[in-house]
Amino acid sequence: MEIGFGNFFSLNQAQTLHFLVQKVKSDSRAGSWMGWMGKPQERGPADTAVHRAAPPKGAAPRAAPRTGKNPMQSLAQLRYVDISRAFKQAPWRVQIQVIATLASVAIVIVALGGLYLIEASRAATAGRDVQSLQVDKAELELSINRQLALIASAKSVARLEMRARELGYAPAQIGQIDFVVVKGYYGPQLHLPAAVAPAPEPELPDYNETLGTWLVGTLADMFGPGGE
Amino acid sequence: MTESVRSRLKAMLGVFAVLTGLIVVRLISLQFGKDVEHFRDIYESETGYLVTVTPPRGRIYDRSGELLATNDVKYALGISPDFVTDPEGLAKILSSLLGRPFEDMHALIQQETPEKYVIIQRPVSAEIGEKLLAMQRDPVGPNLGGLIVEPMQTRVYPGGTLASHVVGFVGLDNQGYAGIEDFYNDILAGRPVVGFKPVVPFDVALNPAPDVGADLYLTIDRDIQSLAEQTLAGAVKRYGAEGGEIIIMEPKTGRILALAVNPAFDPNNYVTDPNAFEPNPAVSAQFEPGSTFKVLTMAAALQSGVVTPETTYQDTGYIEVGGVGIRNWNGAAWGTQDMTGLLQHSLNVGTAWVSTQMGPKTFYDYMTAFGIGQVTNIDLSGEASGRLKRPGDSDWYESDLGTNAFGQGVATTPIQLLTAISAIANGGAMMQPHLLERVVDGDVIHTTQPQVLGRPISADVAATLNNMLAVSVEREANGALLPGYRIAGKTGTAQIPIPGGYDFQKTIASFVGWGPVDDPRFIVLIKFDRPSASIWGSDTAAPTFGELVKRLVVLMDIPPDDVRRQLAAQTAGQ
Repeated sequence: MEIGFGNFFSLNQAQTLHFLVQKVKSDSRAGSWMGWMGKPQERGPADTAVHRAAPPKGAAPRAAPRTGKNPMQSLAQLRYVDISRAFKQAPWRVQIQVIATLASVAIVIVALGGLYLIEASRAATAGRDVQSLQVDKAELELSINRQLALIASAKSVARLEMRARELGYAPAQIGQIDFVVVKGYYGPQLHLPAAVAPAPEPELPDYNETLGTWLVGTLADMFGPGGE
Repeated sequence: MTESVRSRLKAMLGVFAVLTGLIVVRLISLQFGKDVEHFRDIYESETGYLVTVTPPRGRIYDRSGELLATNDVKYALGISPDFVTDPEGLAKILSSLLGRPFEDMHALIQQETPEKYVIIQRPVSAEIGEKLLAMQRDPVGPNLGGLIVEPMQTRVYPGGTLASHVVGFVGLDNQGYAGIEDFYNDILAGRPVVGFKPVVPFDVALNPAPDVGADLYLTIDRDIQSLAEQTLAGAVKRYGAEGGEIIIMEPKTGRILALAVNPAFDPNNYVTDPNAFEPNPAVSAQFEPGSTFKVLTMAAALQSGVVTPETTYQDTGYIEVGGVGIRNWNGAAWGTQDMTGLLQHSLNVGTAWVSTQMGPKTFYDYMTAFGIGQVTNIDLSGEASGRLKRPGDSDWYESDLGTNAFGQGVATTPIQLLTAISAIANGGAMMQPHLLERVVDGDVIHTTQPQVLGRPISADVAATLNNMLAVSVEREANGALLPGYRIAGKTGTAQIPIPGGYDFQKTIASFVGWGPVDDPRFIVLIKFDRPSASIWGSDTAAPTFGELVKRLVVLMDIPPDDVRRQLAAQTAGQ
């Protein structure tokens, strides 16, 4: 039976147990395994299993120590926490953690950058639309002024009077007018009634949403209290 | 790792740390240091420009909401000499559209100048401007490179000369230069704002919002104004006058319904019209009113109790006041006359006698109470105060009491005289004459409330004098009569002062009348300058008044007196 450790390597059960036993023993002799990652002065001359496993330069490879005990018995003596610690502190495990952490940071940065770009492009598009609308508005105002002036010219007294005469009308004389009493009517209201103010239109909010406010708002919509 | 490598790494780390620190310090200084403004200016100059936003000028309406002045679009043509790529083609197009010689246009375009912008013509009509813009937009159109066509707001007056002296005109600098445009320029023009306009879409902001000019509604009635102007123009021509004015006012409120001046001017072409730059004579021309002034003298005498309508005097055709002899207009003696006869025949001798009965203090106090020699504060620029000499003034003589009584030696303006006499039509209350009915500033509306300017005489005296003047019109100034309506009024024929005395050949003929007497709806002043057909107000101004009010009562929906009383009775019975 083999125990898989990802794509890095694999050990059979016996090799694994042997490796662990050696780790625990050397740990009890030379201090913490963590020492190899610590400061140099805290480490002993041969403070890691890796170092000890490597024979001195020129020396013959040392045979694996044998205790004469059944490996299964040794394993039984090991505490669970020691095994767990050994796995956690394995070098390949640390590498994976570092790589995963960096990858996560990179993904977050890319995601934030992407969101920023999306928002920035939306803001720029909206800005361009606003510029275009402002130009349209100015042109429309000019056009309205022009139309009002044309209408006013068409309604001028001289023009209306000339047109009325062309159509056969003549100014009324006082003798041609019959005055009657109309109940509740008090004569022509030459003075315009006070202009009725139009209902105020809802004021559009300024387009000042930042990425942060957008995120907060979106999250609030997603996870905030629902219903009315 | 050997010790030397380690130390080198440490040194590099230190160097990088120092460099990073310097960069951070510099960044902080750029962000918050003393050069912030400098860098902000650089940024803004690269990413936008300062723009002055001029608000549209407020419009002017008559009291019925008809436009008297509004805004239109014209265009300003200019070139950027550095960007003109086809000067010949551009000059050819511009010369054909603007009607200017090709050579002039070509020279203008080709001139050596350090300027970035050269004006070709401003303003040009909307038609020409829009035609050029269409050519610029046309991808296969002519090469108009370097031509700048900019819209510009201009003022237009749809009625042309209608109410020109009331409305005034606006120059290319958006500044009002006469009439209402001048007097209420601050309200009409609004306030331009200067703002930064970013060109980067990411930084785009709404255009700076200027304080928009408010719209004005005047008391002028466009139809009545037109009637007054037509009547005046016809009469000036008919009587050979040099000019004239007609003012129509509501005596109960002081609202000016029409203010016509002849000659008028066209505010749309004020540059080429010399009359545009003449002051409005209705408020600025000071003249000796003549016999219309007798109304005020009689009002003062009645109010002070010196005379009653029945008081008589013996008219010998001559009276001496302060050593100066005064004669009647025809030099004749009119015998025994009462006060109504005095007004009816417009007797100078009798009026001078009345003023001497009052004495100078009483007489001048009342004239001051009528506002003579003071501005009325009508809302038109250029109002003159007239002149009323008083005892104590260096140029006042005792004889002035006699001559002032019949309107010589005293100077008034047409609006001042009308305002003073309106007190008699309005039960003794003199109303503030005004042209502004209301201001509409967005949703806010300010309405002008009629104001009493003074009460120089009582209602009883006003009613008495009304009756006397109605009788005198019926007996003497027949031309001013209007069948079916009781009208009161007084003619005036004033000699014109010249250096060393008076011009005996020329006069100022006038008439002030109002009606209906029992419920006055209008008071009208008509004045002609130097009429040649006849020097007399009774021959010129009075018939013009009759002609005017014949149409005026129709436009104002004023029924004849008997119909009005019947209607009032029916209304009361309902």
